[in-house]
Amino acid sequence: MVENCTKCGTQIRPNERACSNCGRDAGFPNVRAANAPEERAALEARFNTARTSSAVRGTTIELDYFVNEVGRHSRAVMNRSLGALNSWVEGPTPLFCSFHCQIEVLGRAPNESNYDQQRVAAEAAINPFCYKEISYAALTLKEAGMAIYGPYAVILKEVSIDDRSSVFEENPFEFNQKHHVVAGQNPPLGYRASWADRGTLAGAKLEHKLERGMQPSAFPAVLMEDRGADPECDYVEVHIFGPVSRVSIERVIGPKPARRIDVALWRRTVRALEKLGVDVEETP
Amino acid sequence: MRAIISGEAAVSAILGRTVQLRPLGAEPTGNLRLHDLARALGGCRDVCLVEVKDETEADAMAQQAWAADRALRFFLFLLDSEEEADELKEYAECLEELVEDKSTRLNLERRLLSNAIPTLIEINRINKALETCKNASDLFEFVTSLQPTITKITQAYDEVAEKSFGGAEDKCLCRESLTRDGTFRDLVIAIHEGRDINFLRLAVTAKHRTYAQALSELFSLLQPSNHKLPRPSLQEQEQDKEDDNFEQYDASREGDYEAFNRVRAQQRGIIERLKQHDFITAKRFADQLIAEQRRLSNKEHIAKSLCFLAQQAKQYEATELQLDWAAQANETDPSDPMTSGHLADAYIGAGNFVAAYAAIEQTERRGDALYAATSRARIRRMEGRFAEAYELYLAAACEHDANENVVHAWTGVAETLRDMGKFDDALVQYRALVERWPDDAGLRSGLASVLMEAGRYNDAIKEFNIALQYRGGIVAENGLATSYKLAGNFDRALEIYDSVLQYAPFSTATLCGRAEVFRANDDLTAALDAYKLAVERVSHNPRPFAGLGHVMEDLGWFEDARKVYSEGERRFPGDEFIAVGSARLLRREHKFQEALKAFDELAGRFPFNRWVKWARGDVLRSMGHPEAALQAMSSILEAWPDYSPAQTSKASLLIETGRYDEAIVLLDARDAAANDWSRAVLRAMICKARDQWDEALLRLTHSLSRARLPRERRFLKSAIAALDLQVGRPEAAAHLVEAKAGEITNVIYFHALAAARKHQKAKSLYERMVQSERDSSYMGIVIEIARRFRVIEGTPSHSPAWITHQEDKALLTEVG
Repeated sequence: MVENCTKCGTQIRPNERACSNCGRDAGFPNVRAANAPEERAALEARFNTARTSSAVRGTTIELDYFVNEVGRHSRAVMNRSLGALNSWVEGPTPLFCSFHCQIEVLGRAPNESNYDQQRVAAEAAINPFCYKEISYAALTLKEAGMAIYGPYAVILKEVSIDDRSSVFEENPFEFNQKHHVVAGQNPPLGYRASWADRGTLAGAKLEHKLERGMQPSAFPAVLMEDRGADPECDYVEVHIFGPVSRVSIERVIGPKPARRIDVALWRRTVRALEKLGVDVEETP
Repeated sequence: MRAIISGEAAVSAILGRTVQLRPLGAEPTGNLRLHDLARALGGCRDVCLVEVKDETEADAMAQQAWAADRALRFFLFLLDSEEEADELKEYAECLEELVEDKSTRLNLERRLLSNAIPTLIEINRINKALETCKNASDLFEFVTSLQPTITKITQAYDEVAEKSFGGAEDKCLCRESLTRDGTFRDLVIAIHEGRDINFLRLAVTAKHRTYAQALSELFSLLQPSNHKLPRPSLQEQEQDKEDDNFEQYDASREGDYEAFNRVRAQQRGIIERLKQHDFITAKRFADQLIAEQRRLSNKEHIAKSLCFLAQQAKQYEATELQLDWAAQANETDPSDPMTSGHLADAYIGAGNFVAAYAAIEQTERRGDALYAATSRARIRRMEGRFAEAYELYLAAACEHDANENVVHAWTGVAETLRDMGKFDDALVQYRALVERWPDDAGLRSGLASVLMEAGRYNDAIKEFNIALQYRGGIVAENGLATSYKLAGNFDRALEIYDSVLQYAPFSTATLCGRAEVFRANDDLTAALDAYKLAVERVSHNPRPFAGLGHVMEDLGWFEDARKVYSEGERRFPGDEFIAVGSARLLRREHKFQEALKAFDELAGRFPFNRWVKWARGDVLRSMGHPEAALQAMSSILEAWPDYSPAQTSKASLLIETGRYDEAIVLLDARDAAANDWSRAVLRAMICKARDQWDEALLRLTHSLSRARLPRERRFLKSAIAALDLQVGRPEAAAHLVEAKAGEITNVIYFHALAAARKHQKAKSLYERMVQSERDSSYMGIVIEIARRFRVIEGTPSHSPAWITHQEDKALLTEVG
């Protein structure tokens, strides 16, 4: 897809944030990719197929409700371990910068690069021009995320991410396996959307899970299965361009740890979160 | 085994084909991918890759890393001047608990002595918090007393140019290494105590040779009076040691004829176990063989041995073993394209195309561009992208025509022509190949397959026999049997399958092929038994399960089929064939709502399964949405223009909606093929619609003369019978038609009997149909026919034209 600057007409490369000529902001690369005409057309075609099935099965009302609900009320959630949450909330400070390695050791030494390659290959295939800048979250209608990735669900403020986020059909590794996508090949079209169109993507993907008479209270489990601790749990992934600062955190839900040492760490983390105005809920 | 450890996340993760995540104090979770691990460790900065003996060691390392992480945090929290006194006390006690362990304390010291504390600290407040924590208090005092030395060393390190390290990133990496291995700590203590650091310098530069120059500069800054020593004797000693080892190794690596024979004998033993499907013993024998070879042979021999075993595993359908041995071969000799080629082949066989692509790229980098190119083409072919696969095969074949292995690329060209229905072109291609490589059994079998698909069964049989003369093996035997089956010679087909099973009792293709002969001959009871035998013999393979369920569906034993699919899903979770079977069952039961939902889900899970997409369209049609069904078939043909079922269905839908010219274009697009009978029926329907009765009859009778299988004959005869009924020849129709319960053929048969006034037979059939669940979807037409021809009491509700229209529509649906 060729994009040109809306001001001076210079071609904008897929990985650029701003026009290299006049400097005008070109938007976020992942969002631009999701809004590309061919991508939108393919998503529309998928959605129409879903709508056809929905009409035949008599679930058009439920589909409309679902799309609307996801489009208006779904949020991005990141799951973190306690240590990572504390680092996020309390860092980067001079203390933490000094005493932690700034570069992940994994993937730096030549004999380890195979693992790093596999790890990033899935992401690079989906967002080839900006995967290093993407932060990953899951789309949810409930106060929970993918617990397999950490027991602490961090709900992000919509205002912090909506302009720079796109959504993707599922986790890229699963997607690539299914669609045989490898780095260097274009993934099939119609499986991503801007944040604003996330309801359409969810509808195209999940229509078959809707039943006639299904109530909106059942929609959260349609969007993200009720088995977040299972690696097979299906979800829609959120791709956020750029790092996610701690001021983007709206709410944190998670358990009180079992060990005394971690309880002390958790309490300090809670205080730091509350200082930031974050709503914290401790679960049993 | 390799593991990833993070103290920050308090997990270890064992790396294998899948990842096992082991959170401290919680149950492990298996079946993760590296991608999941990346998410789980998001935000963690202490992730490292280690080699461990077992899970216990990994857990112990994770525990240590967690303790080190928490100890560091609590130490730094103590320095927080904004923290309440109570909280400081809590941190002190937590720190005390952690540093009671010597290794935790050591790790913490390594961290703390690698950087100066950059803030001003309230020592009194901290000491008060630590007053009941002796170990933590000692540590705090120790660290604070060393701050000037730490500052001196870190400043010196910062002064060393990045260029000396090889760049900014390497400088950071080196710093982290020196922190983790305690070099900074040792240096700080040595300098603080005024000790000579020359030996430390030697040890450090020897250990971190990559950064020797930069580290020498660091030490020079710390102790400027230091001068360079001559080449360290330590290094010389290490060099000598290596030479000694090499001589020993050389002697131990000498192969001899006896060792070669032993290896061969062991390999034969492994193959025997594979033949018996005793995969556990085969693996054990192979592990023993390879362990021995690792002591005595070089890596090339070991890799060749593993590749050979992988090939054998493939032949005997031991997919997991094939993958395991190919992966080992690739690890053993990572420079040989043959090893990565075998690995790619194994991944393709396992359906893991993403991993296959990685192995293919390795093969290409290692120098076998031809194999890489044909493998990529092969994947495209398996995805049903035949045109693309054709182009890739052709490009590979032309570019590497001089390569002795180019036959595979050329074979791919011929095969993809066949896939696209271009049988004449495929035959031309194959004949040229056979001329070039006359002894190649694979080419003979390929040629035979094209002939078979083109309906030239006798020629196909001849070619398969030639292939057998050139040792075509099971492939040629099974192909020969299939040819006989399609030619209607079921006895001969069964004879061949049975003889193959004598020497290859666990061949899935043969066992299932045999069952399909019975099925094609409508002997469903025998087909059932045959599939049960297949399930018993190859219980690790989902295909016989799927076949067994399918036969039960044909028998109308829907509940039994459901049980088989449930068991199949339990044994083979996520298997495509089983999942498709379950959905197909819903369709057969006419539970169209559920079937549509199931096919929509399957279309998402298996995006390359064209049959699923076709079935969805078929269900839409059955639910009375022909336009939606047409759209579905058109979508399929956009992605897969050669997909014959979609072509036939689309043509049938076009006929149903009166778009005859478009239907003709579609029907004539393919070369003449063995499935001409459906095309003949559809063309006849168009002729009928245009009042071209003679041409319709001609097409049908010509096709009938070539039809061999019961189903083909049944439908062709029913189509002719329907014609006879419409032109007022019911006796001829009743005489000709063959029928089967559940099909429109049964309705047409009933209609013919009723119209020919064979009242008793008609009445008897009517009563059977009324009681049969399988004919229930046609009861509307059946009752109307029964009333019209007074088989039962009652006034007809519709005209004769309505009956004809319903029969034609049903015929179009079942044939399409």
